[in-house]
Amino acid sequence: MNSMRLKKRLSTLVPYIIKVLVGVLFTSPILICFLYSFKPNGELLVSTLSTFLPKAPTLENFWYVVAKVRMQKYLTNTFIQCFSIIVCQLVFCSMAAYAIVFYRFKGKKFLWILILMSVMIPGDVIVISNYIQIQRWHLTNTHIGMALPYLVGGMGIFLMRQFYLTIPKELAEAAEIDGCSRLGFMWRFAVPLSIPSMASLAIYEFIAIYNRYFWPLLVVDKDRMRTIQLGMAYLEGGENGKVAYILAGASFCVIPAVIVFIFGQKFLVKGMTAGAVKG
Amino acid sequence: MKKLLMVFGVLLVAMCVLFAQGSGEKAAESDSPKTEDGKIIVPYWRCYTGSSAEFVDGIIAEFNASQDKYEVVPEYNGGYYDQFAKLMSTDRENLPAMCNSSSETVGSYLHSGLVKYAQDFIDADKNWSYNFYGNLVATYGVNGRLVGIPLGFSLSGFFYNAEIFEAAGIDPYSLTSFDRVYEAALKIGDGGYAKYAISEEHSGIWANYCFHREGLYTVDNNNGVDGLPTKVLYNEEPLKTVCYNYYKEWADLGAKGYVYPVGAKVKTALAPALGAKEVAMIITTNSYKSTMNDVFSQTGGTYGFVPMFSATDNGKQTGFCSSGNGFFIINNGHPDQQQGAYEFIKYFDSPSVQLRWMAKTGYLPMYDAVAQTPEYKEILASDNYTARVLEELGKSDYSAFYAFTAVNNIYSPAGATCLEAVINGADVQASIDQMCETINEAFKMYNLTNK
Amino acid sequence: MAKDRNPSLIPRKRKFEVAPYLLMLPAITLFGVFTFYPFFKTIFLSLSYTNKYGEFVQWAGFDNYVRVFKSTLFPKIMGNTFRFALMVGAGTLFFAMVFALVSASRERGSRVYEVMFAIPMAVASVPASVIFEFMMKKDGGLLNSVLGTSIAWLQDPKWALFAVALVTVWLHIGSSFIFLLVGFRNVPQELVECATLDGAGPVKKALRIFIPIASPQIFFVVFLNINSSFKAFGQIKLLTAGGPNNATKTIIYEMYENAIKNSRYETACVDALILFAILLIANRIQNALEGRLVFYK
Repeated sequence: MNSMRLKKRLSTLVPYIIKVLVGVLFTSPILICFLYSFKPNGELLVSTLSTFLPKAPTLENFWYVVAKVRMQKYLTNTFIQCFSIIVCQLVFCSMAAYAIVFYRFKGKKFLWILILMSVMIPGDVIVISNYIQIQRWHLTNTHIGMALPYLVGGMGIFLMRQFYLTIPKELAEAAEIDGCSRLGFMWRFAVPLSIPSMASLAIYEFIAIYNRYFWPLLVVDKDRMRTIQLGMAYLEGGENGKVAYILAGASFCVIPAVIVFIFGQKFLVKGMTAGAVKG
Repeated sequence: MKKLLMVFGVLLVAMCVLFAQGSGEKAAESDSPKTEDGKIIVPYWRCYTGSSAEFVDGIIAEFNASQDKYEVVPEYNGGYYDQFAKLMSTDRENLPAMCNSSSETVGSYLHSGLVKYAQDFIDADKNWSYNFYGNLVATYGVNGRLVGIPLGFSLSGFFYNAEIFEAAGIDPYSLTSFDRVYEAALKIGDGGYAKYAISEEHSGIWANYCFHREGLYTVDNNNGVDGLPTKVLYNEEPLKTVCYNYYKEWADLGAKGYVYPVGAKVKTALAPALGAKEVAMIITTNSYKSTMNDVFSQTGGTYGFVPMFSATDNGKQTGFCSSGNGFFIINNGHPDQQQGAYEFIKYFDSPSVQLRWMAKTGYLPMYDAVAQTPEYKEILASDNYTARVLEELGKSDYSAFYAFTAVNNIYSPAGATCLEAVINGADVQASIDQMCETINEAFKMYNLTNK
Repeated sequence: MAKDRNPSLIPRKRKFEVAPYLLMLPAITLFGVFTFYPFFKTIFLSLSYTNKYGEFVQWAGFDNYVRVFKSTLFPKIMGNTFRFALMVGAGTLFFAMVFALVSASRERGSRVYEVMFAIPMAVASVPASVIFEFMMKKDGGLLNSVLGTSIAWLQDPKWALFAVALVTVWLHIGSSFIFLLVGFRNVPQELVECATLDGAGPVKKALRIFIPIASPQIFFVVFLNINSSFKAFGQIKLLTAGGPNNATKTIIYEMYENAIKNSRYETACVDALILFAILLIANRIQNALEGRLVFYK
């Protein structure tokens, strides 16, 4: 009896431990980064596997990143960007995808092809043209200028469409019979049901915004408007730069992201339960 | 689902508020280029990051406090390439009054149509007193007229680990040509004095500096004074033989495994390897001094720096090409700002600032008045090689320098690619041909579209 | 699709409805201004010569295309592009699928490894590149020490593309993992339990239940990976800058160099259109497969 229970427990515990170990291995670059950012630059430069832990841990690198470069300011800007772009993306992409899936109208196919095409247009060529446009509107050094070209995305519309296609059409039909308009159906059923997909889209966008470098570089030339990526580039430091600062900066911008992330995943899990209701 | 709608509504309003904040501030300040106390704002795109930027910012604060006419405001707008790309696509009203960039980009700035000749400001100024060394004037000017003004003077050459050289019985200062460097590398490699005998910072410009020391020009614009080049001369005598041998020797060293993998960065890989005696020398610029100090403070041992070699022993050993950084005054439609920029440049190049700057970065003096100060003598005494470097510098003339090309972003990486190819076993002549094709096409396209 | 199953899709009266147009309005306006207008400019400029400011100088006809296609580097760049996309696309999909399948069933403490599998996506490419540069050093690098090899991962032309792809896969797995997890978690629990009672092993369950039911998400992830692997370039720029000996130069990197570094704007436009064509073809193929492979309720 006892041994059987033990066996059963082992049979769940062992795979669990294996999964966690794989997870640790998978995330080890982040852990290394974090450990290394406590090393003084000199020690870091000569570190090898055998000197994995910091011999003389220092907070100097973090101090530099926070007090001197003031990464937290850049982080705030990035979060403002993330927040505004994600909200717009969710609204605009849901609207467009809903129209594509639940309506029949003239030119639908054409518009859908346009949206698909927009995903395939590579960014670096159009970025300069957009910069010229933003300058013309005097929107440089503003959050709106930084966000404007990214407020809607083909990828987001595509993702939302993928989800709406899984909603049984009978549901919309039944709702209509009950006197719910097509738009009402969107607010009452489609949008709440799509929360997991929206969460995925939000996370996808979060990474995209977080990683954006050249566009903010073009649109911004005031320190107060900089984003985290520009801050990281600034830490690089040229010939006199210190690698330790870059790693500290990396750790500094990874930590809040991880927190957002764990929270976001919780939301995602909640959303997934909501999604399961539709059954 | 009214709740959901409301949430979205609130989010949208919150967003609009955030947006409005940004745009409001902008509108308030774009009208007037003056500060509250009436100083003219001089926007400066400072292409420096990290501790160098900190130093420059400190000097800016000093300058701003030292007079009440100009207020220099630094902004970082990316590395050399990013900054230039941004400058070229920025409307005139948003342009800064000055920027700085590395010496290889002088040609790009000269031909950008954005730069005001610094010499015009110097000529109008009776108090200008800095008599820059000839190679700096040659690097930053055309026919003796300065396009930009140098702000720091560094030299190409190689760092070496003194203990390895001592063990191998080689005098680093005897390596005045790449042929000698090659022999020394063979000796170090064959004798097992270090795992890798030689390494190069990932850049194509060192080869060109080497050819220029030889007394040979690499492009056909007569050492930069006859406008823009139309072709490279790597495949034309007399450079052809020299160039082929240079890359052939690299190929040999590469085949023997004596070259540290090319592409590894100085800060993260090469400097630590030098300290750990894994590599005997690094071809790069002397401005990595603080990184080297960081490394050697951990590993112990000593290092030194030898300025650039020529290709062969027959080389004319003409002037050392200067690398380093210079200021450019930008034609942004505000002469008062440009004048402010010029005043700041003068301040930055003054002996009191330069002495601190050199102590920090390892840059060399740009004119005699600095070199002769007792403070500089102290800096010289703080290491064991700078005095020797200056001595070598004094032996050369200024007749060769890094010729201007407007497409340096293609010109110099092509050389790096060629080096990568030959070290990894590609055919030497084919690699040189590929390099020539890339560069010549860039010249052709540039000359075709920019009349 | 069975028309009679979706009567709601067919309006009873042929009356003009303004709602769908209003719904699409913001998206189409933004696309028009910030994507399609510049895109048409791209096509226009690819047929002309541009000066150092990226402005039109004169017509070139198809000269730019001929120049790009005839360049001796072009075959190499295209080869790199496809090999890189294959490595990144397939690698990401494979690992994300495995990770998502092993975490498909919720258990106590599963959040721990779920977060771990997804976390690299919170790391931007700049810090990731710095870390991997350290790990991939030939001498004293972690990767070589662990594997017992002596490879110059980022400096050896034979390995560089693979090494950059490895970093890219690491960066990309997280998002694909989450998308797939959403799909797999939507599989009704009863179905999985039934299959377990029938004695289906984990592989069989994956192939018969999870993958078919999550096919819309899988389809999306494939779409995402095709697009993102052809367009991945931050890591290339930071880790190898297209080297050694052009071994990691892909079409997107070439485009970036031409547009930003080299001020050869028209050439960048040609590169952009080539990439566009590749993606278009890939997506046409994929759409043709969608009808057959994807299972919508």
